[in-house]
Amino acid sequence: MEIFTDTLRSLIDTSGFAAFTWQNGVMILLSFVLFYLAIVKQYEPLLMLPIAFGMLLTNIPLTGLYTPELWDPATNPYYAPEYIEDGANILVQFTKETSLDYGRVLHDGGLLDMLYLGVKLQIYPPIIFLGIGAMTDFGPLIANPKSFLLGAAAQGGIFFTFLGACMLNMTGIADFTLKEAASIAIIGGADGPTAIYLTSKLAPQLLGSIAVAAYSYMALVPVIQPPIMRALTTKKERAVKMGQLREVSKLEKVVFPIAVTVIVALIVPSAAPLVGILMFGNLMKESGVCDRLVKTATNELMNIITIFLGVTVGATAVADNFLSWKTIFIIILGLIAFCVGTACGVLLGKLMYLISGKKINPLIGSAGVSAVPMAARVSQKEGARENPSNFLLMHAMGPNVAGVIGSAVAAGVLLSILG
Amino acid sequence: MNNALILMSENAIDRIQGLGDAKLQLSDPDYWSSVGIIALTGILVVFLILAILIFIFWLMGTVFKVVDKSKKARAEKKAEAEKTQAAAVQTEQVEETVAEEESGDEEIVAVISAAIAAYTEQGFKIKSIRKRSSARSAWSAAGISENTRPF
Repeated sequence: MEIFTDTLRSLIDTSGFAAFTWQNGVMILLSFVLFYLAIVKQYEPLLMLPIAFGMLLTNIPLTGLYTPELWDPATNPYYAPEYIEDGANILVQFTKETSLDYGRVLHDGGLLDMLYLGVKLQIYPPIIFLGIGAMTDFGPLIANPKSFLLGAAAQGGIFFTFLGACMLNMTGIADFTLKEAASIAIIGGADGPTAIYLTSKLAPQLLGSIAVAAYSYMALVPVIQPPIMRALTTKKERAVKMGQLREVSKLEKVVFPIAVTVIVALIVPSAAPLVGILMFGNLMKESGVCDRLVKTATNELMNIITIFLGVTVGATAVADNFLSWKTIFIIILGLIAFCVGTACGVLLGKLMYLISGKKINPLIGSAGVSAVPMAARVSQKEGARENPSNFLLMHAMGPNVAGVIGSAVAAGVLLSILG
Repeated sequence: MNNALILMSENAIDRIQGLGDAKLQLSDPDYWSSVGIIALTGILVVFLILAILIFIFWLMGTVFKVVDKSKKARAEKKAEAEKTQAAAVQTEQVEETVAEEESGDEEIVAVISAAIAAYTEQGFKIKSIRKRSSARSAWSAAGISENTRPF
């Protein structure tokens, strides 16, 4: 009988209940909220659902699936020897390792730790970009290169939010380092992989909250953008019909990815992993000679990586990182970034409307925030509201895909300054 | 002078980053200038790169337009040659649409006759080409709006 109770007690001690804290409870409830958003509201469910499940798994104690300590260089217990030649003698000096120890991760890590290596080593986001590149038609952008300007303007939200996050510091209610401020600001790029890429390099402790904020707002683009677009434009501007785009030849479509890669990678080398791989995917598609590779990149490969990325990013949302005021500020600042980005795009669209002699519909400016193709659809919908025979979709796709390049370049710039 | 300024500010950014802690960073006298410089360089570099891309693809676009035009001109000549050839054969008179050529747009005539030649592979004679009324029928308009409707 005694043996039985002992066994029972040890079973209870090793169960999750023994180590369960109220923070775990709150995080698990939060993951339920994300489940609701993913399943019922269908907010970017392909990513939100894995994120929510990763969050659930990581907050059940003692599972050992994800071990935050392994990813914190400060907890690295090892001392590295350093050999100093001193005349005939060699002195050995031990210094504490302050870098991340991947050997330790491989040795002690759980399943999600292993998968998280792909985020930490910057593998997943570029592979997602490969698939995006292989699915994107840059034709509307090539036909109307001026769209690049709108794609650049919409990145204004990123840098405005960067300033905003730093100003919040001044009030004393938040304390964001420069790296954290840049990671939050990139939410304004409205591009999930880019946000994850930058954050995993600059502020990995915020990865969970930034990914959740970025994907939620991307899903909310049809709610966030229209009021701003309507407020900043007049009825007459919204009703502008744009002429048909010119045909783009295959040669142009093939030259495009090569030229963009060369130019962007030469000027901002740190943007090359994103822009370069995006363009690689696009070249595979446009060349028309690697159909099988394109199929894999846009289907199986991208799906696999999406699962890994979602579930591990969700797993980084442990209570210590997530349950803080910072998360609330991230959510507020992320929204500001989206709004300002949209406004900048529309305002430049207005300017182009005036300069072009009222030929450009300013509504396409808001599509400059990446969020492909949702943002372009919003432009189309708003245009069609004013004039049902107005088809802005293809015109808005130009700024839309330019926004993808723009936000990747912005991430590259932030990375080269702060990385 | 400018370079020195940039170098100095970069050093300041490095130094501030090294402080790691937000409160320490904020106390650095160069904090605000660094923040401003980061935001400003960021947006300027993004605009600069995309402006370079605009220029390059605008250039590419114009080059391709010129190439296209010369190609079209060649195709037109070819089509015309085919047309006269086809007309000369005249084994059978295929009745093609419609009365007199109104616009005098020879290019369009060439293209249409080339298309008919490719399609029929027999001799034919074009008597006239007439424009249809350009308005879209209610059904095709409904179809287009259905297919391009965003939500």
